[in-house]
Amino acid sequence: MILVRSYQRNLFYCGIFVFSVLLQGCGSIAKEIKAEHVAKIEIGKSTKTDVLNILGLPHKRESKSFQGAEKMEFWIYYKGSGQTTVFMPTGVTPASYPNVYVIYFDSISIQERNRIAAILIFDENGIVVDSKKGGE
Amino acid sequence: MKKATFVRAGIMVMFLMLLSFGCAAAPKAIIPLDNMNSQQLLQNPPGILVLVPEKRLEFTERLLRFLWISTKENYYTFEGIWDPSVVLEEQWIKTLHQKFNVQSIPLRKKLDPVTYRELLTTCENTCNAARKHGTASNTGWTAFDNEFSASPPESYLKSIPPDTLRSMKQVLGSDYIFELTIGGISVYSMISPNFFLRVYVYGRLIRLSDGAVLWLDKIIGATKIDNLKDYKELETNNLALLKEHYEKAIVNVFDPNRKVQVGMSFSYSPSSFFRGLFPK
Repeated sequence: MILVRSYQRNLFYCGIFVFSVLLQGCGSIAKEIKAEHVAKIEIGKSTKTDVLNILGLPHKRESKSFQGAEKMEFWIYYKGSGQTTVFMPTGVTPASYPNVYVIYFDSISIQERNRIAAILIFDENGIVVDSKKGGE
Repeated sequence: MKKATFVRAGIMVMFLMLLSFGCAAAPKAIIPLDNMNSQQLLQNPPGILVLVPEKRLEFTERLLRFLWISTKENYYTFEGIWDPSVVLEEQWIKTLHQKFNVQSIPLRKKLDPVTYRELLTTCENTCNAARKHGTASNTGWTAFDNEFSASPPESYLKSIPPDTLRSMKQVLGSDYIFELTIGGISVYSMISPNFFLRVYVYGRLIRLSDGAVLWLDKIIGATKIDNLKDYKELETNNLALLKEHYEKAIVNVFDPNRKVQVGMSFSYSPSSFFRGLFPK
């Protein structure tokens, strides 16, 4: 919690503004799974290493066995570039401190990552035997 | 009057008995590593077991926006794809030998693969049952940071190990096992584009005959990832860059002149993973 006197408030916000503008260039480097990436994977040919090179590590992995198809492996990728939370400075003037401005940080969840972009299915030899894109 | 006093005393005795029974049942695993145990360690090579209960990589980036800071979190699994325990095990064996002149035996090599896998599963499940999975908070800490500083990992480290692990005494021919746990691997930026790879390592020395924990500690090994322009750079070529920086972070764990991440910089820290391992 930062305590700022009332007459310093504008200067403080100006500082934050300039600092924010200076660092606007910092963009996300998170990966996003797109349809064109998934299209590069060849069923019956691509291996786990190929998939790692194209899509990277999956968000989730499951192993399942079925009759006639043992040790199947599922790699699941989600859409979007991750779950985002925001820390936003919020100004409040407490009634008990009339000349003091309080800056604190609050968290707001603005996105949930629960939609599947792709599921890749490997056989026990590590070859892709099927792939599903989001919505299929 | 005398009868009443007698009854009261009886109740008190029963109450104390109940209390003492409770104390006897509660595990009290921590005892200091004394000279006798140190000598035993030098004479009988201890076993080494590395657990990876959290087979996920946490990727967290903080992005400064107009008047707010945005945090993006991603978790990727490496289960069945990459085994980070091998590097930690090799480095631990090397360090024990060089620093303390202790030879050690990895259970990975001592046991057949099926038994080893079963032992790992039991120990990792026990560890996970005691863990409290954290979440990223407003204070700038990541989920793994929050877990690292919380009490559950220490509760696990202090607890008596599972019987399956204690039964390894005969296989090993030694009464001691070093159990190391990789609590998480994190790629993190305080403010993008300065990225660090961090490994959360927990360790304890167990005396198998009674399950006593003779030493425990935890540490975060870190290394800076220079010029990371895209997260996918870490994963191409079979995770080459990720593995390279992970190995650097593991070396950092045991480095006597180790540096730690402080905000966006990387500076010297006098902390060591070996506090109290051997008496002076």
